[in-house]
Amino acid sequence: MIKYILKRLLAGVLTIVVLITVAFFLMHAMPGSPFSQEEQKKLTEEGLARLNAKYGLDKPVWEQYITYWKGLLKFDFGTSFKKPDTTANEIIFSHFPTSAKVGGVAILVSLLIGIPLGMAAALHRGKGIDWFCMVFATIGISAPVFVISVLLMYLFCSAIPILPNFGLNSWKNYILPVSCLSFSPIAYIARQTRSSMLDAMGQDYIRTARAKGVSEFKVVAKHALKNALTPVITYLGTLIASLLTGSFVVERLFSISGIGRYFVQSISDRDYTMIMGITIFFGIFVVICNLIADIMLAIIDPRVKLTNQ
Amino acid sequence: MSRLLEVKNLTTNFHIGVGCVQAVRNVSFHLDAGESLGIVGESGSGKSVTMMSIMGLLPDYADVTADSIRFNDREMTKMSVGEFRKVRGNEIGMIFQDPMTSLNPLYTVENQIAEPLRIHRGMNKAEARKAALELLKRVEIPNPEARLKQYPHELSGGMRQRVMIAAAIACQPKLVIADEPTTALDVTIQAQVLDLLNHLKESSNASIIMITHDLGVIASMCSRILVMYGGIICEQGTVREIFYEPRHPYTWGLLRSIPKMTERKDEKLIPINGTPPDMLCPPKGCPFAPRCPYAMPVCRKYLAPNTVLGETHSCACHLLHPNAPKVERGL
Repeated sequence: MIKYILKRLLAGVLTIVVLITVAFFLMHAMPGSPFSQEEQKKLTEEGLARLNAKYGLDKPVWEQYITYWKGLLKFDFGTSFKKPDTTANEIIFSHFPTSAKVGGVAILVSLLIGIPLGMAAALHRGKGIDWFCMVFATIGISAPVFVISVLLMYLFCSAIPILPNFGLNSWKNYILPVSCLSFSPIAYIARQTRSSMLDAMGQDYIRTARAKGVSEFKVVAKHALKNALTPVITYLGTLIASLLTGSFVVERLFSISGIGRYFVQSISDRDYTMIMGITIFFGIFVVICNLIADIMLAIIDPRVKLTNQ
Repeated sequence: MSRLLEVKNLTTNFHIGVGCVQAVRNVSFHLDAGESLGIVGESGSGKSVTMMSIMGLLPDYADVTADSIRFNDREMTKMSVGEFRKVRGNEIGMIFQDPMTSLNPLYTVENQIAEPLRIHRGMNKAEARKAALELLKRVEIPNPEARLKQYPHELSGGMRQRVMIAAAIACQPKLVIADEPTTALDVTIQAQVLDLLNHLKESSNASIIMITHDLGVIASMCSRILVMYGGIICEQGTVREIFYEPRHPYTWGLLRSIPKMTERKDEKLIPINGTPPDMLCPPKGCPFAPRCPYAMPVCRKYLAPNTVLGETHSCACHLLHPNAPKVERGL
C-alpha cells in the first residue's frame, strides 16, 4: 500500500514535470508577450527593452526555462508581471480558499442530491421520479454552465429578486454560485448512480441477500449501494479537483474573487509567472485528488488491488 | 411423516412488454419432513421459477398466484412481508446455481455467512464469527480461520459454493432448496459438493429440494422426483418409479438421453427431437405434444389430466386413458 502510494506520487511528480515543460513552451509560443507597445502606448522603445531585460524575456526560451526551474526548486513561483508588488504564491494562497469554499459546498451538494436522486430513479424504474431524473440529467449534462448561471441569475436576482448576485458575504450569497457549479455534477452523478444501481440490483448476490431474509432497506443500503458507488468514486477525483479550483464563468458572473478568474485573466494578460504558477498548482491538485480517489476505491472494493503493475 | 411443504395450484406469469410468459402453470406438489425431492426438467421448464415463486424472490413484473402454499403448518400466501422474511434464510435456506456471482464481492466470507445468524438469531459479532467458523468446518473448507477474512474473489468456485451452502444452513433450516448447485462447477468439484450435501442431509434432518437437469444427481440424492416440462408437472413418483416404471413419453426421452458408461465411443446420444415450447404462447394442449412421437389429436387440444398410478406415482398424459392406444416405450 505505502509502496503503491509512493510509486503513484513519483508518477505524479513526473506528470507535473511534463506539464510544466509543455505549459512553459506553449505559453511562450502564444503570440504576444507581457509587455508590448500596442498595449502600453506610453512605453518607449528603450523602456520596453529594459522591462524585458528585467524579467529575463530577452534571453532565449530554453534559458528562461532553466531559470524558471531554479526558482521552482525553491518553491518560488516568481513575481507577477502585471502586479509587481505581489508574487504568484501570494495570489494563489489568497484566492484559492475562496474558490475552495464555494467548490467544497458544491461538491457536498452534488453528492447529497445526486446519489439519492439516482438511487430513487433506479428503485422506481419507469415511474415519475425516474423520468424526472433522466430529463434533469440530460439537461444538466448538455446545458453549458453559463446558460444555467444566466438563467438562475435572471430568475432569482431579476425576476424574483430574493438572492444577491455578487460577493460572498452571507450564506445567501452561496446559493446561486453553488447551484450553478453543482448543476451538471448532480446530473452526472445521478445518471451514473442510477445505471450502476440498476446493474447492482439485478445481480445474483441481491437475490442471495433476499433469500437470507435481509430486509429490503439493507438489501439496498448494504448490498447494492456499496457496489453501485464505485464508478461515482472514480468520477469524484476529477470532480473535486475541478470544483475546488474554481470556475471562471461562475466566479466572473457572481463577482467572486476566486482563483479561476485570475487564471483566465493571467492568460489574456500573458502574465507568464501567474499562468505557470496556477497551472502547476492545479496540476498538483488533480494528481493528488485522483490518487485519493483510487485509494478510496481500493478500500471499498477488495478486488481493486493497489499493486505495482 | 408430517407435511413440511404443500403447494396447491401455483401459477406464475411474467408480464413483459410483448405479452405474458406463462412460466409455471397450476403446479401442485408436497414435501414431507426429512424428505429429499428432486425436480428435473430442461431449461425453461419452470423448475427454478417454481422455487423462486415460493420464496418470493421473483422481480415485480412476476405475477404469482397459488391456492395455497403451506410451510410448516403456516400459510405462506397470507404472510406479511415481515413474517415472510423471518422464514427466508431462517427456516428455508437457499443455494443458487452460480457461486461466482451469488456472493457479494465487497463483503468478507465471515460477513456473508454471519448475516443470516445476525438477522434471525440476533447474534452479536463475536458469536456470529464463532458460528461462521463452525459452519466453515462443517462444509469442510480447509484452513477456515483464514477463509473467514477472505473475499469471494480469493476463493475457487467450489469453495464459494461451500460458502453459499454454509450461509444457507447457518440457521439450521427445516428446508434447503438447492437450485442447480453443481451446474456451474467442474465435474470433480461437482462430486465433492454433492458428497457434502449428502453428508449434511444425513447429519441434519432437513428436507432438501434439489433442482437439476442431471438425473444422475437426483438418483444419488433424492427419494422422490418431479418431472417438469413447459411449466407443468408431467410426472411424479419415487426414484424407483421414475427410473424403472416411467409412464410419460417425456420421462422416457429424458432417461433415454442419459449417456451410458457402457456405450461404445461411436454410438450417438439419443436426443429428444424438437425444441422446448415458447412459453409466451404455449401450446393449447399438452406442452410436450409437438415433440412427442406418440401424440394423438387430443394431446394438441387439451392438457392431460393427472392420472394417479399409485400412492406416490402420478402422471399427466392422455396415453394413460383407458381408451388410448397402448404404446411401447421406445428404447
